[in-house]
Amino acid sequence: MDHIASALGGWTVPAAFAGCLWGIFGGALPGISPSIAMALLLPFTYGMEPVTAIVLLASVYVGAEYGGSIPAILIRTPGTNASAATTIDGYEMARQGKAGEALGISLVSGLVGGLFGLAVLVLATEPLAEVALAFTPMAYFSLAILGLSVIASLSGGSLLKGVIAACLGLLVATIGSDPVSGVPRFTFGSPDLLGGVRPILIMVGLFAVSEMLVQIGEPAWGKAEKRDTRLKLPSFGMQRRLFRAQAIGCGIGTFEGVTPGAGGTVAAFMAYNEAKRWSKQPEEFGKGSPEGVAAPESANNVVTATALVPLLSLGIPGSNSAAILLGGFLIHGLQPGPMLFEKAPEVVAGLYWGLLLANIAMLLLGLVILTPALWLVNRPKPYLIAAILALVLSGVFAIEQSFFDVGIVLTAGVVGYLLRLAGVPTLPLVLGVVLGFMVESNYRRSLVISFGDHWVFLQDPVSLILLSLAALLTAWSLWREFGRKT
Amino acid sequence: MSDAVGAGGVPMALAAVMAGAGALLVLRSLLRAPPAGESRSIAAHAKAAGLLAMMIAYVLAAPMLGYPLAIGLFAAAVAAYGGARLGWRVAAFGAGVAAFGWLGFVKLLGVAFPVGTIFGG
Repeated sequence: MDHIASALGGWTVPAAFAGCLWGIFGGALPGISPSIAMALLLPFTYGMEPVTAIVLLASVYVGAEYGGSIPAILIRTPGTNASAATTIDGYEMARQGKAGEALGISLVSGLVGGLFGLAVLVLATEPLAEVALAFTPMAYFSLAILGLSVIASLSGGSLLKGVIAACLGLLVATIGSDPVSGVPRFTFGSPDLLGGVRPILIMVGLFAVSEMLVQIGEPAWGKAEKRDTRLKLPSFGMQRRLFRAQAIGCGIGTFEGVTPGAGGTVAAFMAYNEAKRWSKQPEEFGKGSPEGVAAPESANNVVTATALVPLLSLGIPGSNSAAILLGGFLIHGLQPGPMLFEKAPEVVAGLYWGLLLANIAMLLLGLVILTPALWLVNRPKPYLIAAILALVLSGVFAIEQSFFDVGIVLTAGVVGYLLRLAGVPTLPLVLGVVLGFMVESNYRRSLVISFGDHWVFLQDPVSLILLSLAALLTAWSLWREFGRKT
Repeated sequence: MSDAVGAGGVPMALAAVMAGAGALLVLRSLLRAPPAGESRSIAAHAKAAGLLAMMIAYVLAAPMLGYPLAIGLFAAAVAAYGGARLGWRVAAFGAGVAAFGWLGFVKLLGVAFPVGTIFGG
């Protein structure tokens, strides 16, 4: 009981509700992805207790996935990428005057998915982390290489561009004092760079600032009508009908969530397809099928929890949102991975309980939040962009009271904008920044142990297994990249 | 403490990989049409450049004007730049952002934002 009281004490409960609320609003705004909504809050977590901060950020992720379905159903504009599949039948239901029912199905299916994903997270993470406890520096290096090998699946169809982005991220991570000798690198004489570039600044710039630079030149998104604001929860009979679609969503969401790089969007579309395949009324799909809303919404909410399995157990973020959550851990001096369960078990327990609370908060807030969410979605876009940027500029300065940091964020924003123009994915860059220290420090530590002998990475059995997995993953990606197109 | 790779080893290896990947990209684009990125009009780029200039102007002006005034002006300017009609709504919005920022960041969170050299800070 002490464990529960400790995890739920302090600001955990308000953080879960506040995070979920922020997430629903953020997710409801087209262009604000869950990761952007999380990145906007990241600077504010500096002064918080670690548990509060992590629960706040994780709850944003949970809330945003439901929030994304609101404009997807009402104005055929997905608030988040993962809710794109919901537009197909959700908007059709809205056109048939069943918007409230579609939103209710989305909410309940999201809850089912979120709770199922949480159960998977609790059961799978610690055993995986216990295996990782026996890791040597060589194994940690190979683990980071394995983490980087998922670049291909994060590269949106161009492995080479993904590799360049990841290398750029790894280069950014080398800025500051060298982890072995302490020699300053790429600091250009600036004391502000001696400690390196904090991943949080890169994330906020790449996700939030670059998105606003894009959005300022885009036309306004559609408006939702006020008649749509009554939410209707599914009846028992409807819930029975939705069970199969929700179960499919949970299964696919679990698989896609624990696989780094796959994410909620892929899970939602796959779940939609499979739900259609296994439905008793497949002909209704695309014409306003309730199952067509339930399956993707279950799947993308399962991912909010299962995407944390590789992050918590191995320290590898497999999605944008997991990378932001990793940033939240790093801010508080916590390194996700096997040692987290030994060094800060209260944070892990707090996160589990916080996710449970966030799902409950999503249900409660979902019942009452529709009217204010619609009000927010209908605000003129110029005011929203201005408010978001004011928040970014203020929040980033607040971290270290440094305009230098604001400059780094703006630079990262411009880089993100240019990378998008060139079709270069930004997530590998983030992955490079957050895994950079792990790669280099363990690589060089291993070489110190082996007196410069690189065979040490193949002599360590765990390292050998991880490197083999990384090689297999890379080979498969290369085949997909080059073999499939020829 | 030193190792066989040294402080420059990893950055140089990364640069080599980037150069190799870049060369392959060039080669591939010569052999077939490169996959397109996001295409935008010149006007959209100009709009983004203008927004960036406003953010830089905020960073430069904040130490002189002080945080509340600078962030309020910034928010109002961005809203107007984004297409909001100039008038009392934009002014009220800027004032609201300034008040929210000052109360939230300065008073509640205790962040030491610049007071502004023109106000004797």
